[in-house]
Amino acid sequence: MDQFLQLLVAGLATGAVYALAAMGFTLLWQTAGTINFAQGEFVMLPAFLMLGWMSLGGLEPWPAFALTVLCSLLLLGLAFKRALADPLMRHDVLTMVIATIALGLFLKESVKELWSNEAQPFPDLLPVGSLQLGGVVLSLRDIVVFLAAAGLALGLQLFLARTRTGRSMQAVAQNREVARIVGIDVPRMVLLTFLVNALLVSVAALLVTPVYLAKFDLGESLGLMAFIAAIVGGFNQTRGALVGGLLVGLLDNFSAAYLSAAYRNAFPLLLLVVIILLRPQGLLGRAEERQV
Amino acid sequence: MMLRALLVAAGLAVLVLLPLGLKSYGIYLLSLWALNTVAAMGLNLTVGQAGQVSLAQAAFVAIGAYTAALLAPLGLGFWLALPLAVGVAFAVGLVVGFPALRVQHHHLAFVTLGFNALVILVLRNEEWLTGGTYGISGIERPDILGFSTFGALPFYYLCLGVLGAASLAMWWLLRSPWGRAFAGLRDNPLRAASLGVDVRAYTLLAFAIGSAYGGLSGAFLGPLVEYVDPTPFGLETSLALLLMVVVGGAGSFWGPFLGAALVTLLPEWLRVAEGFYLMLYALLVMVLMILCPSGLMGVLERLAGRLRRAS
Amino acid sequence: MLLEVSGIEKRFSGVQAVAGVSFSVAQGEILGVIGPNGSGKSTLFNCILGQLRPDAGRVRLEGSDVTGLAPVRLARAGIGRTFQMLQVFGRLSVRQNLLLAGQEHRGTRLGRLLAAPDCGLGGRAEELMGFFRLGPLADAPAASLSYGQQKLLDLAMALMPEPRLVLLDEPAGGVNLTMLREMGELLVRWNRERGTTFVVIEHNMDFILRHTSRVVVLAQGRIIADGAPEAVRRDATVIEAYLGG
Repeated sequence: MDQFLQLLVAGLATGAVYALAAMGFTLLWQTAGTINFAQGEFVMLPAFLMLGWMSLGGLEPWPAFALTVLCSLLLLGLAFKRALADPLMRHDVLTMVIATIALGLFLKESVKELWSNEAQPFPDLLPVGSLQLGGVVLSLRDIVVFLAAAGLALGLQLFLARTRTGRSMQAVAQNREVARIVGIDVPRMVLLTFLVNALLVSVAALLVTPVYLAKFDLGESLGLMAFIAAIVGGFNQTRGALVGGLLVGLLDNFSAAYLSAAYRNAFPLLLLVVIILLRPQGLLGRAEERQV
Repeated sequence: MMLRALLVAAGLAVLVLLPLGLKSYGIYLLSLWALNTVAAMGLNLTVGQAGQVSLAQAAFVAIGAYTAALLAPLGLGFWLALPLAVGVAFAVGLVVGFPALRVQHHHLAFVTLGFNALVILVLRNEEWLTGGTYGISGIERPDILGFSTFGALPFYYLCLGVLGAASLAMWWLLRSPWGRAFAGLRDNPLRAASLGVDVRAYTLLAFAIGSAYGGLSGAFLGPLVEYVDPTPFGLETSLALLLMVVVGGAGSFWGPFLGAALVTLLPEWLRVAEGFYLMLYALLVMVLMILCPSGLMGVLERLAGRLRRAS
Repeated sequence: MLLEVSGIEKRFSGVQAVAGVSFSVAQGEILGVIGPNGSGKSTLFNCILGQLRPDAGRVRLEGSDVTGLAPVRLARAGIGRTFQMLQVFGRLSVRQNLLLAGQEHRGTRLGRLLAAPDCGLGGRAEELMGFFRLGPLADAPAASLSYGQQKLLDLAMALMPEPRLVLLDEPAGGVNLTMLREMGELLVRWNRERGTTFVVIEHNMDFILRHTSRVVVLAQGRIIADGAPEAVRRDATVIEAYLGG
């Protein structure tokens, strides 16, 4: 029972981080029509930016994190949009798939060559330790990670549903043409989406790296899990990405503990196949009318 | 028509004579090019004809390579293991394609990406079968009618023969009613369905045949490098194969020949960059995608069109 | 009866697009379906052709239930169709377009892999190209044809598999008067000579009155008239639906 609860909390914590990456990924696709195969590396890079500010810049963790977020907004938000996503928008999905995979490879190799190919320890900004709850010992860090990630995810959800800007973003996602006609500044909403994604991956990096350590290939399985979470939840729903993320995180942790650690990445894949066979639009997705 | 036949004959003559002036490493690269072209040609059917983005071609090459490497020493010999390797790749293609094709386009890209990751996971973990990260070594090059292909040159001619046979089969397939159905479902799936073309079945077949070409390429890749391990079959290779298709121009028959040549030789040219080679490579790919997404074949066709109009 | 449509209903988020439509089509007829914009013609058509699943009602082809069958199965069952927007395979030649239109209706799929490239349909394709005056263009890519010629090719493709019934969705749209008359005459001639049954959706009244043998008029998702073209033209409810709507 102890182990079960610990795994539950750990699963929710990883899941909430997957959800952050998956939500950014879904938003980018919906609102900006950009498919980002480098999303995993987008989580890896801020971790190294932060290490850079700390070791080279000699900064304390929190100021370093603030600067990291700023750099992410510029690099992974603005620069990514202007230099890669915008020019590729004119072409088909295939070119975007190839170009963003290449971007992921570029980020991975840059960190490996310019920083290190070894795993780097990462500062813990969150309380470490354990929590006694009625005889069960739970990891305080897992709880805080879960609360922070889930809080951000819910905050984003509220922002999208309740604020004027959020609803405008949703409108662009649903129908760009109609959004333009009713007077929404579409390019601004698209830019905002890239920035929101950059913010999400920065926070995800801060939360996940202390556990997994900072390594250049950190994004490989994380990216894959985020894709799976997005599809399982429903690719046309940010809410779906949240649910999918939690589900994949739980599955990941439980299967690693109870079934097979070597195949921990395989079980979410299995879930993906089951979902595709039974409910191709995803758990919360809307079905589209039959085309052929 | 005459011109095309002449061009093919000239190209073939170059391919036969070229290795005579090369050292063994050059011949190895040429052999690698021929096998890469076969795998890319298969992927071209999936991507260019059926319009599906697949990121799993490297996994099918791996399936072919491991199947042949495992079965050949069991008394079957290479030539019986070969059709089995191709068949297994085809069958796995059908099994993977079935759920994958319920979703389209970008979704398929993820599903195939996931499948590639899964195959690597199995190759690494099932040591009893695959030798884990060390792989299988001591793979022998096959004999043909008593002639050994052990040397670099004979094995290259074997690879060239495989490429020739695969090209002829593809040419014939594209001219057959199936090829017409493939073209139809790429052009306009809605109309194709209304004419009784089973879009799902043909897409699945295109995917599985493309996978079988991957398996064929893999079956000879093992004997070429004389061992197999999981490393060369990761996402980077699937990306490279997709790149060969796109650089050559998706859907164009000769595109994979050109694309495979470029992508196979690129690492050699970038060798001066040493550790930074992959960074440079990734950067080049991004620039290429931005500047000429229709591939080099598209650029050549545009140039040819301009020349024709000028004359 | 060749085709029986009974009690079709379809609702889109509160809007009743089709409200219980029933009619039948006899072998050898050319039935026109007309109605003002928004009368539910297209929705009805899509329900019959398997693009949409009707909320209620049945579609029967020669007595067997084909409601909600996928388009590819309907095609195999002998229902051909054309689309409102032009739908030819632009990169394939005229002949290849026709061969593709016919090839899936005979033999097995594996058999087609090994069959002659034309699947034994070369003669039928020549005949259709002759009938629709496309012969000289046999090897031209479909995209290079004029709009009117593409419309004829589209129609010829629907006829290629020898369907029992062909549904035409606004065949007159965007076609000039001369071509329209020619198309209508070819349609009637084919119907007379080969006995293929047609259902034509159109809002071009002139085309319908000139070339069909019976007309069904839809308004607000219901049938308001069903009869010979001349009778429908004089029907007071029809005039009101068109002019008073």
